[in-house]
Amino acid sequence: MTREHFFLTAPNTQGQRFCIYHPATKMRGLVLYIHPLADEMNKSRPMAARQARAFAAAGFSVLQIDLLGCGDSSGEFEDATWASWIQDVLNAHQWLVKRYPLETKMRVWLWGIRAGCLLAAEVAKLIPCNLIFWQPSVSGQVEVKQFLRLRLAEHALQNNKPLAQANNTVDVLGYLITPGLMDSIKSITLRPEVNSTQVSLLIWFEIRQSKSTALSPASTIVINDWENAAVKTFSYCIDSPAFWCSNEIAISKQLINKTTDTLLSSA
Amino acid sequence: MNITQNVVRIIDESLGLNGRAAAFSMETPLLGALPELDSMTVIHLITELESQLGLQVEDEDLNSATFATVGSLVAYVAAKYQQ
Repeated sequence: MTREHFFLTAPNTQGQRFCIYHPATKMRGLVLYIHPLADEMNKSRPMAARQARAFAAAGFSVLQIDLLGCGDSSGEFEDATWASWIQDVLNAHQWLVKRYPLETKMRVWLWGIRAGCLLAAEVAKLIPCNLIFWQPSVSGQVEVKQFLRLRLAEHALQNNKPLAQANNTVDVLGYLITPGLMDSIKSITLRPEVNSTQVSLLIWFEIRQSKSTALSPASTIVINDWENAAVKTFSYCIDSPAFWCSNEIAISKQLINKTTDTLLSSA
Repeated sequence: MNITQNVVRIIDESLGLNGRAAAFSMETPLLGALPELDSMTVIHLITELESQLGLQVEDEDLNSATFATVGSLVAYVAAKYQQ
């Protein structure tokens, strides 16, 4: 079955969101892709597309949505607020379950990469769902710090732009991020409070170039929290380049195969 | 959690040293001595320390003293880990 491209209208005339839908021939589940921040979104495109096709071939239809101010959706990046992004994900979820009503007890899988996992975890407080995390950003504070630090890299190379204070809108490699958005992201961590999440299953992939298959200390702690919140978790470390920020396109077939296999065996 | 072991491993992986860090001691000089460590790659190293060990590195901490040797970096991470 062929991919569909369309625009989803955001309610309250908040514009159009560009969507790609990968239908599965024999549908057994639904996946909603939540992209990472700024340039990581662009660099993740090849892997996201391949994984979406692999999911569809395995029976899971996938909806990809560009959030407000991102990709081909309406609005500029500085128009984006965390609340609007949560709404975008909820609207996309609504579109999916309206078009393909799930059997009772079946849940949509929210699949996030990096900061997309923070957004998925927030939405998971509002609707029953399952989660797939690729290299999740565990702390919103650290995520914003790392994002702002990209200016340092640029500064170190160019040495002529003064580093602006981050209490106004900041230009990070062309992305204008507002203090409001930064504050929202900084307030979020991936550590669930017991009873605050509606997640049933969590699949977690740590992705880094390493021969070691052990999860990092930080991941281990957070995954423990999810298990304590009565969420069944499957976690792995995959040896792959950091495709969401690398200069050259990096494809990890191992990540795609393991993600698809884990989804199939856990669903 | 063994901080020294983790820091040396992360240095090796994030800078692509392919196992060379196994021979490092606390006195091994880093910034200025290791060709793989420059103003760009130090940011990648910091990102990995943050993500894998759950730290938060402040911009003010980014000075040459922190990254002078393996020992100075381990001491910095250990102090951060207490916070």
